[in-house]
Formats: sequence, structure tokens, C-alpha cells
Amino acid sequence: MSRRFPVGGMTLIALALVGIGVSAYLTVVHYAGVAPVCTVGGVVDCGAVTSSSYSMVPATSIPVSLLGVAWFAVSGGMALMAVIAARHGSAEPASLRIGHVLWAVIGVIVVLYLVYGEIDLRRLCEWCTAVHVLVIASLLVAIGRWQRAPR
Amino acid sequence: MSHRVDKRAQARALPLAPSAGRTRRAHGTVPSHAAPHGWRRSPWVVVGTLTVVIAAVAVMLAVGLGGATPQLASQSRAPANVVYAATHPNPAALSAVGVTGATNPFIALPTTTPSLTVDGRPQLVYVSADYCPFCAARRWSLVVALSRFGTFSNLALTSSSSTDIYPNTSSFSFHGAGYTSQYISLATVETETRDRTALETPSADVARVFEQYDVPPYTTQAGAIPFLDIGGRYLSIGGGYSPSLLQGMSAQQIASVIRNPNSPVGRAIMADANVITAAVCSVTGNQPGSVCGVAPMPQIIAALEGR
Repeated sequence: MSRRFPVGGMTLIALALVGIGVSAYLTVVHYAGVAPVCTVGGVVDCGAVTSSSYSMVPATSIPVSLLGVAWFAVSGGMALMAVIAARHGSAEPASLRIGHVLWAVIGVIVVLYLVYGEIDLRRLCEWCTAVHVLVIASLLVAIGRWQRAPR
Repeated sequence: MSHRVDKRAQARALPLAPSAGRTRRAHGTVPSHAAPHGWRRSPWVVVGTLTVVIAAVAVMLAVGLGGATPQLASQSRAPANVVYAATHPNPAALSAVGVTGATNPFIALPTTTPSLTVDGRPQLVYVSADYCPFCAARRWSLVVALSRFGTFSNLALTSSSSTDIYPNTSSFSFHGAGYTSQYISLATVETETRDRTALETPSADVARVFEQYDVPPYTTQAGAIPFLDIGGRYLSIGGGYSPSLLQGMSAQQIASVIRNPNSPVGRAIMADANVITAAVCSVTGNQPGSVCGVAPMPQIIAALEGR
């Protein structure tokens, strides 16, 4: 008997790994106090965004990119649990798929706040946009997995 | 047409993935009208979600851009490395410089003076103009100092008047800029452009402070700028160092030495920033400790407070 390849779960893991990489990079350059490698000199200017107040969790000194690392780690962890379950032919915890959707919704809400920050600053950050796209893609894939969940 | 309708009806009735569901339905054990949550498997769920996200971004674009502060022709966007250099001061260099070379000591107002606060936070009032070279010099040290308490956004570059003393002194402009801090509130007014046309009008509260304190004996010339009031406790009217130090330097060149204690320009800016920092610490109750508690800041604060 052949087991089906868990496409959705693997996609979420891939998205999470890329997201962790980008978020970790932004976190490192934040603490190093240097400008990230990106376009400078126009509407697209990640330095202007990552040095703004929107780059920090409000009323703290925590960079939002660190939250990004944590969010993708949790997202990837949930997907990994699903993939492991699929590979072992065991049942995936019933709440995992809907839990992943809810987690992704939280991520998208934060993304919308950060997009508003870019609009407020009149600057676009390409690294940040990459993270935003990854979070939104994770939500869509998570919804797809939830739709295909066994009843 | 009818074929399409039939296919859609079938898609709504049939579960999409699990083979178990299909098998049961094929055997007729579960009637199609009993399929729970048929909507859940509709592709419209994904499409709808994406639409909601895109619509939310579109609404934010409409709302966010509606209140845009247009950048002046005499201003340019501050390059990221310039903003970084000014807003990420070097604590070790600041400590090494201390207040050596600072030329404009703050005036301590009587303790009976009403304090300036906004939402429980001490307020800083800075009245300035883009044409003014002393204001230009002061903005560098203000950005350095206040970046230790909060975050600037949307800083633009400008230069002072080409026809005034110390012409074309490069600096930031606070016109259109934002500042957020959990410790202090900042109210800036750039009254005129570098071409001396009217730019910003102070609020009633700022105008009251300016008219009350930008007069003798606090200054020799009423209405002098730059005017800095920190929390209603300290006044500084005039620049903190001579703009002559910045003559002929671009913003990039100033930014390249702003964290360097071995540069005369870097030392002057950091010394002025330290005096401003000490005054801010004095009105925030020495918060944050990571700024106000690090040597030589306690000594500078003590001297400022006359202890």
C-alpha cells in the first residue's frame, strides 16, 4: 500500500524554513545595527522600514522580525507533526489543521498591521514583503489542508 | 450549460478528498443532502480569503495615503545608512565623549513651573525652521539623543538657507517625520522652509510655551530658534554647537563620523546629544536605566539638576 505524499504539509514546512531564514536575517541585522542588503533610494527602501517604529513590537525593544522567527517556527512545527503522522500512516490530530488555520490567521492580521506601517511610512521593504507573502501563502495552504481533512 | 450546472451540484454534494466518503456515497449509505459543511470544501473559501486580505490592504492604502504629508521640493528622502547612523548611536562613543565641547548649557526652570506632559509622558517641544543653520546643527544631536528613548520614522533631509549664515548646512527636517516613544512625547514645529516660506503652524499649546519662554531673560532675542523645552523643566534656546563644524559636509559625510569620538564633528554632536539625553533622563525619572544609568550619564544628570 502506498502512502500519499503530504504535499500541503511539506509546502508549509518549506514556507516556514524560508520564512525563518528571512526573519532571522532581519533580526540579525537589527541587533547588529546595520542596514539590510536591499534597495535604497526610492519607494522601495527596506532600511527606512526596518529602522522605523513599526519594526519594533509596540512599547517594547523586541524587533518584529523576532516574532516572525517564532511564528514560522510554530507553523513549521505544526506542519512537521502532520507530515510525521502521514509518513507513519497514523491519524493526524484532529485539531491540528484548524489550529494551523487559526495560527495563520493571526499571522495575517500581524502582516496587515505591518503593511499599514509601510503605507504610513510611504516605503516598501522587499525583505518584509517576502515574509508577508510567505505568511499569506501559509494561510492559503493551511486552509487547503483543512478543506481536505478527513471527517 | 446544464452540464456545467450538474458538475457544480455534484461538487457541492461530494466530499473532495477522502475516498471513504466517496465510497459511502457510491453505495448510497449517505444521502447527498446530508453532507455536513459542504461549503468547507469549496474553492471559494480560498478565493474568498485571498480577496479579504487584498481588500484589507486596499482599504489601508486608501486610508493610509489619505493623510499623506507631502515632502517639500527642498527635502529629499534620507538614505537608510544616514538614518541608521543617526538613530543608532554608539553608547561607548557617547560615554567617551561626555559633554566636552557642549556650548549651550540648559536653563533649569523654577520647580514651580508647570510640567509639560502628554498622556502622562514628559513632552519635548522643539521649534525650528528649515532655513536656520543652528536648527540644522541641533537636529543632528536631537535625533541622536531621542533615538535612545524612541524611534523616528520618515525622516527627510534638507539643508539650511543658501543665503543665511553657515549656508546649506545639511541636516534632517522634522517636517513629515514621526516619533514614537514609551518614555516621552515629541512636538516639533518647522515654521518655515529653507526658502523662508511658511511651513507649519504650532498648536495652541506649543505656541503658548514658545511665547512664554522664548523671551528674555531666557534668551537675548525673543522668538529665537531653535527653541527646545524639555518637559517644562529645561530650556535650550540656540544651537548646541557651531554649525561651522558642518560647513561643506553632506549628510552622508556627517553620518559617516556621527558615531566617531575621534572626529570633531562626531564629538560635537555627541556632546550636545549627551546634554539633551541628560535633560530627558531628568524628566523621565531616569528611565530607561539602560540609557540614564550608564556612566557618565548619572554625573551629567546630577550636574544638570544642580546636585
